[in-house]
Amino acid sequence: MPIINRKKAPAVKLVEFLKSIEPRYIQLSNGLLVYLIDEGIQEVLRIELVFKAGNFYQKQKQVAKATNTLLASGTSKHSAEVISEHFDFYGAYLETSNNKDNAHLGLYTLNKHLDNTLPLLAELIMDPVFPEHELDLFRSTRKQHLEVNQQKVKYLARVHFHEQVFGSNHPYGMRLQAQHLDDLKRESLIEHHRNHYRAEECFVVVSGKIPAGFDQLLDKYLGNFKSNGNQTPNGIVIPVSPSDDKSQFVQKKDALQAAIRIGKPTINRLHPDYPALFIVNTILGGYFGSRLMINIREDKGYTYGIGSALVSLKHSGLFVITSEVGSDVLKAATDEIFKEVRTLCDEKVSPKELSLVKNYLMGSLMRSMDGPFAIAERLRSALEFGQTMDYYKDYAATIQNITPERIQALANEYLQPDTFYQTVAGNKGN
Amino acid sequence: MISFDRFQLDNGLKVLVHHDATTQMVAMNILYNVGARDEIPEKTGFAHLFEHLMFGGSANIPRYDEPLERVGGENNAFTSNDVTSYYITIPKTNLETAFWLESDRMLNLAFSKKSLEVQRNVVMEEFRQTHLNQPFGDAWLLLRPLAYTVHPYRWSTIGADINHIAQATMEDVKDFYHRFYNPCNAILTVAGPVETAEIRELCEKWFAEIPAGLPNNRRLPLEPVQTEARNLHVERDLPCNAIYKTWHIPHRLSPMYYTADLTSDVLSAGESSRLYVELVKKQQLFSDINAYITGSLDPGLFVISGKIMNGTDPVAAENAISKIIVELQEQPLNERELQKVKNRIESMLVFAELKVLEKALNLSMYELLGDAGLINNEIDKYNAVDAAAIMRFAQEMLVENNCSTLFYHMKS
Repeated sequence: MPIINRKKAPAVKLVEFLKSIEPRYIQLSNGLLVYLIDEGIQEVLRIELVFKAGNFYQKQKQVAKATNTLLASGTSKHSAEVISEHFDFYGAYLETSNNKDNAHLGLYTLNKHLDNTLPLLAELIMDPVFPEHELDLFRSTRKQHLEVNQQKVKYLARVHFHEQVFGSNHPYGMRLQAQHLDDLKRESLIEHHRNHYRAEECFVVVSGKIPAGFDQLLDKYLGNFKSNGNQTPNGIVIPVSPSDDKSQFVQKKDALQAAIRIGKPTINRLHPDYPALFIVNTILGGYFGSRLMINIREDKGYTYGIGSALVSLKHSGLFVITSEVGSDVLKAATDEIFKEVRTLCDEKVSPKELSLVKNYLMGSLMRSMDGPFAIAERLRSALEFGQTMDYYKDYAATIQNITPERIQALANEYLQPDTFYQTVAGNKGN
Repeated sequence: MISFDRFQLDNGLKVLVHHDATTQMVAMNILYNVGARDEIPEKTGFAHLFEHLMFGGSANIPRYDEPLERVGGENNAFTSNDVTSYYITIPKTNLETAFWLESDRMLNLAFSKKSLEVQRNVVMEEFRQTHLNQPFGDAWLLLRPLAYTVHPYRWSTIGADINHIAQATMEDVKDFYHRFYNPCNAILTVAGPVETAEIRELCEKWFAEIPAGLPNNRRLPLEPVQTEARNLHVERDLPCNAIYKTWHIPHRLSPMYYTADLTSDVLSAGESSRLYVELVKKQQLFSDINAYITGSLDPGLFVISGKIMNGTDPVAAENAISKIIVELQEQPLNERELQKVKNRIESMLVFAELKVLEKALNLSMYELLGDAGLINNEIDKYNAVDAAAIMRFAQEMLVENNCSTLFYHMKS
């Protein structure tokens, strides 16, 4: 057997973004746009409907969430029990989720049961009745979940931070309180549904192994999802109004750890600098080998995890650093966080670190497009911002071309530490 | 149907290869046959702490993550009471880097004092974050020693006591590594656009020279049959009361394991399940409630846990659970309900075949159970369960003297 030199790494080959994925799209009889990602070999499908119906469009707090969650809680033909039993019986999964801008309703189904699962999916979006007793149940279980969440420093830090950077009256800054649940009215859900769950305010992403005749089948069930002809009310764009307090502490007695949120409102993915800023964020805290992780976890052992993220919202964006650290090292950890941000602004990243991050990001991009459902996720995020899959080609080009100079310039433009807001939830003690 | 090839190196390393041409990514998994059940009662949490140390660099490669990230790879690991599992996803073109990294840390881990000190702290923060600083986070720290009296499942993977981690020594670390992290105690699975011949070549090149070591022939104490109900009441500063009930069930390869799994689905898989419909929706006694099995390799637990609605008497809530169990014991499931839970299992198994990583992890695990080919017979084993078997399971297993119950009471 030849003796191998274990000190020498195997040859590194450039990771290239080889596969270009172009979705097919069709328009149903009612104009509804459907994007199809026909990939994979398993006979399964994911059908996801995206509505402009998130928090941003709600007239009252929690209405968007309640409306979306309760879509499957009864139609004029079927009760909640019948609906859930039907999907369960065919081994199908229904997934509802809300973000600050949009509402999603997804169906995961085996192709062989499509004839049974698709019609009911269509019924849910066109004919929900939001029964009063289901709303009651939503109210009481959500209230109890809220109480449990409020015992978690991580939850407290997150919601107070959002309120701090966006403002308590901004749709992105809203912090849920029990009163909001008490104030929910069935009529508000019906109105929110009427105004925002409409074919012209919706797109569909289908991924998996698309069976023959699928287009016609989809048109049969979703093609008569009609608009009522009224103009759809838009959400009102109000400017973010961050708090005057740059730094706040949320007291939680007996907490063993403090949850930290540090960051600020920033650009979203519609901005030309966004892909490059995403790379800057990666260097700082966006992957396991990031500077925050290496310093604060791997060198100091202050935390189990730390990271930073860029959150893209329709009308704003958020840069945020998150961690939970031992109460005794809160000050030390915070100092190190700010030190790392300052270094990013003051010093150029080395060619060695930059080449590592570039390769990591290319691998990560490839991973994020692996498999039909993953591609659908990428496509959906692009479509939510009116973009196409070309966004990822541009992003890949940005990764290849970015320089240490540009990284430093962007850090200085967007991530000056003295512009940051900070929320800590924990026990201040004595 | 997941196809695979299998071969073994002279040093005992078992290798599985699954070919999937639909992806550009390769998943590589090394499953070590060691978990928290291999620890001694005075030094718990060790298998998991050791998992962290495996990222502290090896004799020839000072940093583990960096060279992997440099070639577009990503990795992680998990430890359970049964096993420790390391996994990588990497673009096919750079697959050899994964072999280089994994073989070097199996051959010779670097034992640095600094790494031990830092990871001890990191794991203690993990302990606090996941088990102590969360409402109900300590449930399993309380439940395991209640349900198990002698089997090492009586402590959690994270450890029975945070001080055990604080006290881990370098000597402990080295001893653990030399006992368990050997080729004859590991299963390597590679899944992706790969051919068996090329994987065999890479395995020979990078792993063949590693000494075999000794297999982990564990002789664990058998948990005696529980003969009377056990109850534990704790008071905490919590927003609601909660209840956790566990019953002992047979080991992973027992046919009754599948019956237990389907029974837990009857009770709580999906919103049409019995516990959800009856106790959350109709009677509104719980804000959430779940039934599941622990899925452990040695005899495990059937669990029902729920958060009790404020204003509800905990005794009434518990009685309502008992009533649902009595129904299982007295009336056979109708065909549609039985078919429903089987359909859900079938669906889950198909969805689990979508990702190379999931396939690799599952193949390794089934190989540890005796034969990776078992993965393709799972659905038959579930389909073989009938209504009478579920009724019998409920009558034999879900009984009071086999049950341990933990109550959380909110401070008044």
